[in-house]
Amino acid sequence: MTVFSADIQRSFLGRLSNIFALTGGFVMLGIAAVTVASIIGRTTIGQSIEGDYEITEMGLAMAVFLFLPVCYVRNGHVIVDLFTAHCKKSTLQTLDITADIVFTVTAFVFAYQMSLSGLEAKDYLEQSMLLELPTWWTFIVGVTSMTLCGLCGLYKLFAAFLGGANE
Amino acid sequence: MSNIELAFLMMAALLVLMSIRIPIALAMLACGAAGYSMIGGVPALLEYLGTAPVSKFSTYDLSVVPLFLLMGELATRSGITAELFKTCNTWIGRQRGGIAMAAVAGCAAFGAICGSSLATASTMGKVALPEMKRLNYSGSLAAGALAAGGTLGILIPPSMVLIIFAVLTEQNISKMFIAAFIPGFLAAGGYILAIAIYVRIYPNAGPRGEKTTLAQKIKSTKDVWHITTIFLIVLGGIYMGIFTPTEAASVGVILTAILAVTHGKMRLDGLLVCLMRTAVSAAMIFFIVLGADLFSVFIALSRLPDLGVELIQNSGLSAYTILVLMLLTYLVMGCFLDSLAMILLTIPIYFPMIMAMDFGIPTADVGIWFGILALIVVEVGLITPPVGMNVFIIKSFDDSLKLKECFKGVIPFLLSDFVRVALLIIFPSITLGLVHLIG
Amino acid sequence: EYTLKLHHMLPPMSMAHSQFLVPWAEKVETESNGRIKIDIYPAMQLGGKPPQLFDQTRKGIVDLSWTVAGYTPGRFPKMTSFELPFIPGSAKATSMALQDYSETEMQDEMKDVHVIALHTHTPGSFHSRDKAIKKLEDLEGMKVRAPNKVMSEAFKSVGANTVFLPVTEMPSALSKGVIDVAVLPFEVVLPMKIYELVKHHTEFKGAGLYTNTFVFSMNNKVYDSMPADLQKVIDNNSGVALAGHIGDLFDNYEVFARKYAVDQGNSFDYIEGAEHARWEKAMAPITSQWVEDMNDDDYDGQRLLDKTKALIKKYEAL
Ligand code: NA
Ligand code: NA
Repeated sequence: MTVFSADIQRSFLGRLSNIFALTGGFVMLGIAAVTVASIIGRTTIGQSIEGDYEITEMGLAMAVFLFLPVCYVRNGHVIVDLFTAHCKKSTLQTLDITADIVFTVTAFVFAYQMSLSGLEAKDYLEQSMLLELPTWWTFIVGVTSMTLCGLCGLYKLFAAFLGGANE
Repeated sequence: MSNIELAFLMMAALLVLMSIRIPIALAMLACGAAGYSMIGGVPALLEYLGTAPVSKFSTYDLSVVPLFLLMGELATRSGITAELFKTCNTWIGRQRGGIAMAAVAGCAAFGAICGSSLATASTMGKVALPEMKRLNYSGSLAAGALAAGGTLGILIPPSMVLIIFAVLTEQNISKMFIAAFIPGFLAAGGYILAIAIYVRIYPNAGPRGEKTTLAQKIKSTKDVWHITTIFLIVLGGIYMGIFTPTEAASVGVILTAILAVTHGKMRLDGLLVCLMRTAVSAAMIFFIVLGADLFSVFIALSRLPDLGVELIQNSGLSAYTILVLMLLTYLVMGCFLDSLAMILLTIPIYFPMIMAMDFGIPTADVGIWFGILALIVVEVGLITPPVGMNVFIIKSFDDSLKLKECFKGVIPFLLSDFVRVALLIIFPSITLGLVHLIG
Repeated sequence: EYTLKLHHMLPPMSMAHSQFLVPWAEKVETESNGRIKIDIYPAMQLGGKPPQLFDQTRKGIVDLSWTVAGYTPGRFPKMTSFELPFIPGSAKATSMALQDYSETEMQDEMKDVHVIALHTHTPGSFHSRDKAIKKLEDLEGMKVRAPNKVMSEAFKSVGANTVFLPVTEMPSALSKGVIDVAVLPFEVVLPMKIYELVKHHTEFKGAGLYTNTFVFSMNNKVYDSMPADLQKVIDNNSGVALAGHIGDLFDNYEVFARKYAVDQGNSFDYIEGAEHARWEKAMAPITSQWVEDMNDDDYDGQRLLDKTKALIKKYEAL
């Protein structure tokens, strides 16, 4: 019996991941709207939206970061199951815990390193060419999302160990 | 241990990690990181990790991936695609494997407005996979047709990979697009032929549908005028110069969203489901893009590609043998790397060599011809195991699909690819004819 | 002894790679008797995007990099005087002036790296699809792909509709008419085959329309760690002389690349004399705005501008 493992989707972290993902989705819709407005603008009144392409780049990066936690929570990442199809359930569980550990460590390393790089981007005034959008805005979203990914990983590990104890 | 040995060791490690259920993207990140830190040092690796996600995710060209994913979701969720398939079914459903053929044709049509394989596989997969399952198609055939069909996104212009190739090699992008046309349509034709042969051998893989009257056919065709209109607006917009192929994705999303609300009666809850599903697929793809980037940077650092070139150059082989060897290296690399990474790693090394060799055709033509050949074999990498992005995408739409059956289903299409590449090598005029005629 | 990684953004077929960076690396290798070996990684093979190249060198991810300074706006404010309209002369003179200027004015902006050389490309010109640009008013309402922010403002101020697309999007955008005009030096027109997509070229005689600044730099720690004799080898291949040499390569290549457009049968128009003066006058507010902005940021804008002009004049006269 596993009590926690199925639960992450309904947990606080799971719902937070949903909110992140939906926010990212609306950002993508916003990008599409800006691009279409820009196309309409330049074909009718001869004026496109300044920096539409920079908005797309920054919005895309933010959206992708916001998408990451929900993909992990819903087991969206691709795994190769060719060689482990006939393994015992306990073996599979061990392997999946290994993967969760790797994911959790990776997420926290990214979060930590990105926070350093983000601070530096802020200090060095990194910005886009036309609109001068500061790059560190993207870093804030990235660090937050990566941290949430790491927390979700911890949750899954915690749930797996608790679940294992209950078995 | 030399850097070259390290490169081979990490490729082996990557295979091992992937086969023990570590997600592909994580396996690539882990092996790439280990290799990178051993050549470039840990501080350099940490710097890379701090900046790579932001710079990789904010890549303008890649914006088409989530946008087309969203377009596919909107079309599916609002029932627009079900109508589209009903139409296809009334026309060719009676034919064995007919829906799979229609799906390939759909991929070709979608490929004409989309420059990305991943986006084509996602959109068409989302649309066609449920329909094929519903009509009792075998998972192998369905997944194979859609994964292979997805490569048409790049084989038929516009094409992201071709643009990168043209920039790297200073080729005329319009000429490259013209050159890609006939091979692209040959690809679509070859895939349809592969399905026809496949269902002859395995009749149960693509069962016959019900018989329909001409009146039914015509009526169902009238039902799909809306999605056809969107397609024509996007295609026309690209070719009349109203927007670029990258911008076309945004136009497609907005038009489909409007249609989903007005025609498909989509409301907020439906939209939220679409956004959520787009998020999961997009994150999966971009996480692999990130992993593949680190791995390919490590391969570049190891200078393995340079060694390969040295070996080939000192081999004293004929021009055509070297060409075939190069194309074969793409097949090997295609097991691990994604298409853009492969092009970026190899073209700077291969292209000057190719241009220096004599194939009996004018040098200006050699560049175009090689570009198309490289494009095709690079795309093959998207459907070969163990890392086949298109196959992963299709599989992710249906949990009941096993990766093994997906890769099995890809085999007939791979064979068709090999035949086509052989034809294009033997008869360069298939590629170049149209360029000479129009260009 | 030293194996250095040189990272840059252009493909290996580019002039900068084959005529400038590769020979430079070989020269350093020879003069150091093989004690310095340089591995060149073109086309961003070591990851990141072009604007990050400078930071990769600063942080020691790579040992050497070459990139466009204008990609990191706000990072080198004093250098932007060279990007203003109607400032540049030949690439050779402008590059030498820029390197000279950086040695006296920009130590603070450049302190994080060891500068090998700063330089510019040959001034850019107009390349238009359907309509030849013969006078200032012709630009009105045209969809122009501007090369940088300053020029985007400048074109907008004379009524153009500026579009900023990534370089990779430019050829297809131009061929389909998403943009009407590309503003580039011929050195870029040739590799991107833009001369096959447009019919008209408009060049400026006298002060050039605009240029972009480039920075070729080395990691500080790597340079400091070298023994004096190897540092000398690097020094011998740095500075104003190298900047002039690079500029010269760009100027020569410009002539070579321009010939393709001539052979294509495209039309050529020239902005000179009184018409040139009208353009300069129309875009003068951009320059005064720049001076004001610099003053606001506590730089002496006018002095920097005058110095820039004086230096270019000085090296033009050589
Ligand atoms: Na396409
Ligand atoms: Na593959």
